[in-house]
Amino acid sequence: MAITINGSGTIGGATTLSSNVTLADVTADTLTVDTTTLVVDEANNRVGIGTASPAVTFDVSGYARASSGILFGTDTAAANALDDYEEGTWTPNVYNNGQSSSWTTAVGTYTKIGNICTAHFHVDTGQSGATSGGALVLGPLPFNIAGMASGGRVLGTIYSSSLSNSPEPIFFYGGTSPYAQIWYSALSGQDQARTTGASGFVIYPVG
Amino acid sequence: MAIVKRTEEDKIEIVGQYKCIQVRTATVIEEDGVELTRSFHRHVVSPGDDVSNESAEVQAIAAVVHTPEVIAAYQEMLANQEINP
Repeated sequence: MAITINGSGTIGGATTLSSNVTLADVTADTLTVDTTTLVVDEANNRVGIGTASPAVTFDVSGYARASSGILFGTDTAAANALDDYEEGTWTPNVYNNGQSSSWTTAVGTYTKIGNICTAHFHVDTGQSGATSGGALVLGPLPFNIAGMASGGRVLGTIYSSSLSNSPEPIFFYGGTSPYAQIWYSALSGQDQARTTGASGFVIYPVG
Repeated sequence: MAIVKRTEEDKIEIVGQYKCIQVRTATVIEEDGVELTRSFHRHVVSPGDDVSNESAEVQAIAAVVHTPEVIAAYQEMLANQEINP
């Protein structure tokens, strides 16, 4: 049995529509579900989620999830999707390779956007190891470093009163390990000085 | 009203040629079972690392993927990375 309502009508009880619903001639009003859960602003061609007044074409008040990522413009390539963003903390270590370090303070933060990670670090009150010996190393970084074939290099800066060239920019060298060796900016070699504290940040591709 | 703070390893990944284990630990604060905040801490377990302080799950994964061959290859790679001036 077909039900047709011409003019205003109200259905007071629970209603199940077992087939498709077609709204004909919806031209003058907004479509509103639960006040703000879903709003279709026909007059301005806008859709709102969590807002009664969408200000742009698609306006979400609250979090939105896109399990495969977000594409921009007219792009359709999956490789260009912004598919990851993450912020967090990590525990940095600056040490002479093969030797034990000791730090009272070791704090780090990271932000990963797509396949690039920027990691900040600070270690203080302690030492990286012996006065001479193994190359100075930073790590383990919060994400594995991409393989060299994928450009897996680590760049950044480090400041430490114990380092020879500090606070000049320092190159970091890294392969597929989550560790990066710390180099003089002049590429004259690895800095093996014992540090008593260091701060800086690195940027590297995640692999 | 019960506020609970708990941690969970919500993402464990095995990545790269040397099977490094990326571990993401989430700190979750809940009120009456409803999640209020979630923050992350990350670390990477490399072949040959001491895993005695890792969770049982990470230890089990390391035992499988960090074979003596993988550890040896990783150590060799590290040694080759030491470029002397």
